Amino acid sequence: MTNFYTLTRTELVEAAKEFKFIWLTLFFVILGITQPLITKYMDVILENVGGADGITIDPNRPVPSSAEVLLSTISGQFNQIGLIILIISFMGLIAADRNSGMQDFVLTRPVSLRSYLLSKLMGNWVISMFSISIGAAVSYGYTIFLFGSFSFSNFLLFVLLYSLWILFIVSLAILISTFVKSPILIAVTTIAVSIFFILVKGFNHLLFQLSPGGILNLAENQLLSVHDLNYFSIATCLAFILLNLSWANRNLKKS
Amino acid sequence: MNTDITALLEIEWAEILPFALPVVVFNFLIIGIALYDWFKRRNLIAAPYVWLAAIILLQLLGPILYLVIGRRLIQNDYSRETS
Amino acid sequence: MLSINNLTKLYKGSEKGIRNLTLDLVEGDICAFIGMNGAGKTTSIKSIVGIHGFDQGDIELDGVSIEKNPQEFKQMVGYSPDTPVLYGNMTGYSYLELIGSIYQIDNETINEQLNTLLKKLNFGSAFHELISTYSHGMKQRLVLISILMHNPKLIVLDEPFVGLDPNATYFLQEEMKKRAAEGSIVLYSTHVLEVAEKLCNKVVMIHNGEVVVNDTMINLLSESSLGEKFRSITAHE
Repeated sequence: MTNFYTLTRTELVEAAKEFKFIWLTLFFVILGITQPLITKYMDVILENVGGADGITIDPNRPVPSSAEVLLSTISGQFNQIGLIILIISFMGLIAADRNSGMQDFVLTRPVSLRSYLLSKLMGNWVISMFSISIGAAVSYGYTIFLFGSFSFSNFLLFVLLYSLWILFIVSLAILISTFVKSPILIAVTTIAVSIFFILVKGFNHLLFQLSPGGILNLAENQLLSVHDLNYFSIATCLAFILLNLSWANRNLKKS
Repeated sequence: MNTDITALLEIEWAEILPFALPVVVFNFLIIGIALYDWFKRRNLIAAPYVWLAAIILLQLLGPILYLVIGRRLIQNDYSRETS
Repeated sequence: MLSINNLTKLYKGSEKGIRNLTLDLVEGDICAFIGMNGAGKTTSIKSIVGIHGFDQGDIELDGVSIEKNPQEFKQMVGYSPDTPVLYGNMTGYSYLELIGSIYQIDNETINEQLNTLLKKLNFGSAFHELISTYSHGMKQRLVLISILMHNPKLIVLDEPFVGLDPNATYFLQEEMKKRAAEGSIVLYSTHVLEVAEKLCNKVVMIHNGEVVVNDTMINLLSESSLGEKFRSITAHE
């Protein structure tokens, strides 16, 4: 376990030296601010940007609720462009280690593969959630200021559940990078698979509810005050993460 | 509902600016970080001037793409050679 | 004692690799792996240090099998790859601290070891600078320090003399002799046959994945020099 700690710390220190904490956070903060702002001032923006003459805005259109704006920030911004950038930043995970010989460094030391994989998972998850949490918190502040109050505990619960989804994405990226050599292919495959899970979570069928995307449903429902919540997806999500890791472990051992 | 359009614009801008300003500032910060890193690694990375253009010209996406991809694409990557 | 029994590792879809390598080395042995590029030297070495698995056979160091007990095995091994791989963003010192904590060496021992090693390799102030500013030779020397720090039982070096300046070369040769005399086993691959003749007491020659010579240096030299032997093996290519 000491090795796990040492490797995780190394991973985080390396990220800090590349300013990754700063720019990834800035990126998510910008994403988090832009969505509520655009929603609020859509009409002004349209009037100021030329060529919008044909568009008329219904002055009586319903003002969206805070929950709706938060949801569109998360599923529209964080879970699309944000997720893609996040996955591209992961693509170096195992593949870069292998290409640069860093994997040989780890494999020839008295470090178990499990500590190595867990440190990768932990390091990248901490970096991602640091940035996402700050981005989401700023977005939350903007949203309640512009659109009225929203329960903070629900928001917190949402971030917690969303972090499980990110944990799953990191483990998925690790697993795929043990199959595929090219970093670009890793990123494309991981993005494709995660978008598949995002799409599939909408279907109301038990099979899809049990897919890793189910955790995302559960997280989003925290924002929508849905009562019939399926907390079982926490267990399935964790099971999938374990499956990904042990599969990756087996792949590395074989090679 | 029948508001004078210019008056509306003046009021709205004063209201928006404090909110919009952080976006602009953060954007510049992120461009700054990307430029700093680019300057340090410009002799290392592949196609440095393409990336410079991307950082400066492409809003937000340019600097971010440079930071996640561009800085890792190294010229004459020895890792391509397999033994 | 290192015993390699019938080691076979072939890469998928190619003839390359190593077949049926059997080798026993005892404390104090310095053994050279000699062969042309692509002959299977690096493949054997990578199997021995645990970078990749192998298809058949077994490798044991003092009775500890690499397959059954990889961590215990690796704790006793120091390995230097042909291309030094280091965290560029670290200073030499923090890199060695990292290694030290992986092997669970306490700080006192690290500093003690470092003082002697650093002096011999005249590292100077570079020790507290970023690794990415180091020259190839300096990186090589840092790797050497990092693999000797935990007093490994088995020292494995892949082409260690490439890129070293004469002083560092001398240091490495002396260190190999000294460690062997103190009870370590040294195994290294090389193309420099003249040095191997003087340094080693055992030789393994590998050609196209087959072990063609596996003998003591004294026996071999009584017939011909290493260079002649090597040319006669590779002549019909």
